[in-house]
Amino acid sequence: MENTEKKIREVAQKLLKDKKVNLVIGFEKGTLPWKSRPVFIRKHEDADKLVWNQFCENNLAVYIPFYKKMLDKGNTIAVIAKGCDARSLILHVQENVAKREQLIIIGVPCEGMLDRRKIEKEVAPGEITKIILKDDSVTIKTEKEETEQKQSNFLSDDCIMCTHRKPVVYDELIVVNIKEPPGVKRETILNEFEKKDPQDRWKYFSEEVSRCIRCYACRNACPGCYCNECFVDCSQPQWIGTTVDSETDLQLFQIIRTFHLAGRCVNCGSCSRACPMDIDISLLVSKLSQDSKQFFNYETGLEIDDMPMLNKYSEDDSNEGFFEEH
Amino acid sequence: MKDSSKSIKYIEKEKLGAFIAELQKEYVVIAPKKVKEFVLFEIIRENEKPVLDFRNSRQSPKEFFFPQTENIVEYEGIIDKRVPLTRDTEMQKRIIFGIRPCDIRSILILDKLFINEDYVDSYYKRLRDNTLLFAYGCNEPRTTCFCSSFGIGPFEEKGTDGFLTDLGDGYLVEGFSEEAKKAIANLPDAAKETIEKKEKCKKLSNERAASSVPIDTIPEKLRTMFEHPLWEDITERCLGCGVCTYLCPTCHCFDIQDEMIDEKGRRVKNWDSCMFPIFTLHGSGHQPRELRYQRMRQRIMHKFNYYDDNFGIIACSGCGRCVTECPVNIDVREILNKIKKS
Repeated sequence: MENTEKKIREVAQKLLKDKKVNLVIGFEKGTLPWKSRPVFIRKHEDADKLVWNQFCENNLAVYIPFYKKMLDKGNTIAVIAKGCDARSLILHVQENVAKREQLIIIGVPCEGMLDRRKIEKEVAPGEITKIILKDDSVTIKTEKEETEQKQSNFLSDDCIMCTHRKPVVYDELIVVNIKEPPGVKRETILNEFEKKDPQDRWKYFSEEVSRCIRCYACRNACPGCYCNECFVDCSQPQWIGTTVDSETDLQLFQIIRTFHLAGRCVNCGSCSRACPMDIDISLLVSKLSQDSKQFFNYETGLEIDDMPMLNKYSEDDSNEGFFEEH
Repeated sequence: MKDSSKSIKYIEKEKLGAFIAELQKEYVVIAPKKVKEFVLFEIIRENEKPVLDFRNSRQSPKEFFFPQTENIVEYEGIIDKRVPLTRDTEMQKRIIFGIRPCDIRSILILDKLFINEDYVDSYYKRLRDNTLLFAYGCNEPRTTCFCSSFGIGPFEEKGTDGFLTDLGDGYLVEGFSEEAKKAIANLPDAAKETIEKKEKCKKLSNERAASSVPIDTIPEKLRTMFEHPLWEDITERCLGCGVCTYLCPTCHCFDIQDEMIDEKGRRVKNWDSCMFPIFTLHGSGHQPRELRYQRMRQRIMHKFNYYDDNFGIIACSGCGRCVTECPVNIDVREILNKIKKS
């Protein structure tokens, strides 16, 4: 990790010094033991702020649409990118948010991020005061105790299912050996869920979504959600009610948001992580990614010259689910 | 020393369920409940026990006074012939059991806005008037708590009807208001040693909660900081979601919507968040706070300057919810320290 961090800093510093980029988006140490947070570096001497560890959980591509004006002026942005961040950046290029040459992708192979909720659960009701990451172990300190465990016990669910730990498209690659965490196939997890009766599946979904407080953290943390006007915010016409006492509106919000991400979601898990009510949003989008793969053999953000899944048509496309007669 | 202004009772932990059931004969009991891995305040059903081994709830019980969605008026009929439906003004008395002192402080902060000499919000007042607040002392404040910055502490009693302290095997239950005293009258009196034990808990916890943010000069300082590079600096990582404002126990902005289905309709009040790009968006399309940093400035200014100007109190109680739940770790304690230094 320290080695990776050092390399990241060197690359960022050089890019800024050589004036190849105007801005580097990466991670810095946060104020909480379980958090590294996004940082925006413009001066090469600030590159030492950059950190790299298993709490660099945000998908940094989410910030690119904020810099649309800056990009339109021809500026260049470098992003420290995990596999998922890099895929979202490619999506942005495909969707004309940024030109490929304006994004410098500093790829960092990723061992998977740790889920702070899982760590909290482990020590509850104790309170995490410090976390030390070393090799594949994590030491969690609370006011009274200290426990050392394997990092893999706390891997974020989406990272467990990750299919592209190493960025596929990049400009600079931080060459490090990563240990492959114990992966579980998306199919395995989804198949487990799909074995349930439709009523039970609906019950699970509607109970999860009933906690939604419409803070839209899932949407705002998502690199794919950058519409100028989100359908929930549109008032003329109003597509969806704004209250939280209508179950239908809460369900509708999640379902439509998910469908807007068909072939655009990279399963980074940012939506679930951002949710303050611990709603299992990943499950829905995960299913959609599985369908994209199964029906269209498509995975988001792998090829720069490709078009987004729903922007292209091929006679060979699967017609499953379309206009079925009952 | 016997203090006649309050009654001091004791209840063993295993008898809590029976006590709650007793309260439920007269009151709707709202208490902490476990939801997945966290705690929320909810109405306790029959034979249900509150969860009291928690640090603080994910959301504050603010929604029981200022609901996220609240009908202002319901009506039916076609245009020009609409008939408002009468509102039920009667309501059963409620007890919020186990609310943390910071959240009580937040309700006192909201009172200033919703019930003042210029204006009384009858919806808020009705809920407020019919609810007893039984606070729960924090033996173990969170590492992100900074209530002591605001002149309160983990055992603050101001604004409470009664007070609960976890003493290990049981709870010390204190009643301050007449109604609270009545509600706990059937519990056995607390022994002298038990009362002393509480004082020890309180002392210990107050020491633990010593970490605080120097707040004294902040409102005055902000007066000159409307134009300041700090705002853009602290905002750059903000995603513009509503986590901070919707988990905040003092945020109180709302939006009004009309909903009509067939011939039935309602005018409804929904929480709103100054962090959203459509907050206060004018009908003309003009947005007075177009940029993210302007919205961040609004949030900080409103809490730490405007509210203090208007009501003489800062609109923050140091509960730390925005600190722990912000998806990108925007830490208000850090912001306050930056304001102080700039």
